[in-house]
Amino acid sequence: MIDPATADGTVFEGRVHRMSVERLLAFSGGPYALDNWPARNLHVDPDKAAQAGLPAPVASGLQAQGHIIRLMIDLLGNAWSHGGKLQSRFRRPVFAGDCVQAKARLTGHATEAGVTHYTFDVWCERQDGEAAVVGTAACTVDQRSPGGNAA
Amino acid sequence: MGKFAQDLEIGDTLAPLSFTVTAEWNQQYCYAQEDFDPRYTSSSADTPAEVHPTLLLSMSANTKSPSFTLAPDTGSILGEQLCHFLHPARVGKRLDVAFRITDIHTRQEKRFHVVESTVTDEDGVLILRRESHLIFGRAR
Repeated sequence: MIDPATADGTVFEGRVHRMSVERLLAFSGGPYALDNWPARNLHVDPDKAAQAGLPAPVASGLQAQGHIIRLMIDLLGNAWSHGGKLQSRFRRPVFAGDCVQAKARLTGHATEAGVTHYTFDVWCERQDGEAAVVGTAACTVDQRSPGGNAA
Repeated sequence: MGKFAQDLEIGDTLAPLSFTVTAEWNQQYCYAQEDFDPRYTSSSADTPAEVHPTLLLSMSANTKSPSFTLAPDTGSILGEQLCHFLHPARVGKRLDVAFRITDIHTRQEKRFHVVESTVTDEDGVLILRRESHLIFGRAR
């Protein structure tokens, strides 16, 4: 968890995740309970991906973005789901088998009456060092609340 | 028959979507994200587990609207997005998604749409507000 003593400029890193075919299927194949699972789309089906001119199934941008959200929840706790804001641009594809890692740099924070507002630059990086998703995040944390909710 | 997605105009809505997340479906997203935080897997008698945020994002995509259809030989990609998480969603509660086109513009012969999606639970609590910037073009 982050706290008001954290210096601006501090960089936080999430775990490295391999975007395996199995995890792409879980994310983009539809609910396992469907009779016709999995759905056929370019996120999970090599033929559909090839029809779209892609060398392999491409992960939904939301799946890579999800690792940024995970990092925000690790840093900000319950406050994230009570007011967290995330602006994302989807810049490069993540293909089945690629590895990604979410990162965040604290760009500013201000505390008043026990309530701290944090801002971050965020990105999700592929194994080649290129960012697949880039953006900014913001969240307000109430240190007086057990869960940190600002609401 | 309704309009193709790229023919929608500002103010048009897509058909709303309602769904209820089961514990099993939620855990499918926990597996996809390698994220088994107890907040998504543990329920108590009075507080069901939280719905994984990526499941909310998946189901609030415009492509999940029952009325979403693309014209033949065209595709769309998500270029940019703004998400505002307002309250956690809970497993077992019905969630309702509404979709509305809020802006359209054309750049370099490509059509761009901005779609606002909101997710509200069965008690009327606003869970998520999302703005998606979509780019339409010819499929290869």
